[in-house]
Amino acid sequence: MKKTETYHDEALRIIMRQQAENAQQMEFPEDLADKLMQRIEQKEALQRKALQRKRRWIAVGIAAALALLVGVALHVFHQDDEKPQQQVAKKVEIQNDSIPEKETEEVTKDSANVIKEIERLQYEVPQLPVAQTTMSKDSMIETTDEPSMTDVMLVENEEDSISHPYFIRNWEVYIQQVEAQMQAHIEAVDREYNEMMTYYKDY
Amino acid sequence: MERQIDNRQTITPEEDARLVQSILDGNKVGFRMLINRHATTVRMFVARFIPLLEDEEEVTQDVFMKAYESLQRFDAEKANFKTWLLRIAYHTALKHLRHESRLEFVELEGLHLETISDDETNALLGDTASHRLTMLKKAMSQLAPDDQMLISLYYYDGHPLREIAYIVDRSDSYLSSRLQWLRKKIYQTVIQLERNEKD
Repeated sequence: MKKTETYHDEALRIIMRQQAENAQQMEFPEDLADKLMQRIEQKEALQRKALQRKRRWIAVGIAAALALLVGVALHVFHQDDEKPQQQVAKKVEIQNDSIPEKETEEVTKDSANVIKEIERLQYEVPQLPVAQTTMSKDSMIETTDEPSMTDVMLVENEEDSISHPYFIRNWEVYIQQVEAQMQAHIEAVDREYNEMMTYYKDY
Repeated sequence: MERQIDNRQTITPEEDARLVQSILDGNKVGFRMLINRHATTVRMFVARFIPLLEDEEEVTQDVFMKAYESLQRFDAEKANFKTWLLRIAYHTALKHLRHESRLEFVELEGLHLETISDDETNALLGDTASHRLTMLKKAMSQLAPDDQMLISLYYYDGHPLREIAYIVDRSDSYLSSRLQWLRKKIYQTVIQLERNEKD
């Protein structure tokens, strides 16, 4: 069949016409438009409800995602805070490991000598008593501008007292006094030696 | 209150296009006007294939609901609103028919479509004798729903082939060869029915 060709087929046209006439005889309810508009309203109301539900779920989803993000961020920041402390601890550990054992022994030996010398001076220099008391740091700070040597020793035992002005000033004074006493002691020994040598010369 | 279908309203395609635009702009009342304008056309089209009143009304409502929901897709340059509405009606009715279809097909014995001449077909389909018309109706009822609708659109509504192609969503050439095939098939079925009657 060519596109331009048309079929007349009268018999088929009659059948189709009869079919349409039968349809025209059918009685249709008049309120089709009302029913349809009502159906449209109901459907739109349902769609609105569905949209609201969807929005609510999206809001809940966003809130949950934000809470998760904040949680992750807090966790990460907490880890960042810990890092410097861990690094310092590691550095200190490494430095301690790098000190040679021999050097440690020498320092320990020197410290023992110094302690012995101080103990000796306790007996030989009665004007510089190094008393062992249980005085607290607080009571020491409340005292006068010139704390005693006892206070100085106590301060020395405190972890962070190295920069304490009392400690620095009195420790210098103490060293000067010890030096003076040692000098006097050396001079006395020299004098005794000279006297003894003179005594032996006489014989 | 009930009324009979009156299909003599004349509405220009431009008026429909303007009304569609106003509905899209938010004038919901405009859709009621569109329903009133085209309800008869749609109902008549649907009623030709769906004889049960309840089913016809349901399908007609579905057609308008689908039209309302897809109003944004209406393109006045492709087709006028009535044709666009018939396209929706065609597919909605076809879906309903396929779902409900309980057709019993006549067994065609010993006849091949290629052996039937055009003259024989023209003669039979042009014969308006009452006996032939009865047989033709029977033969028509044996066709698949989409074929019945195609015949109806072509012979009763007198739509141009291009417009039918838009409604059924097929190409012009497909429709052309399909119509030719359908005519021969109707001829074949009528002959078979007459043979069965004689036997």
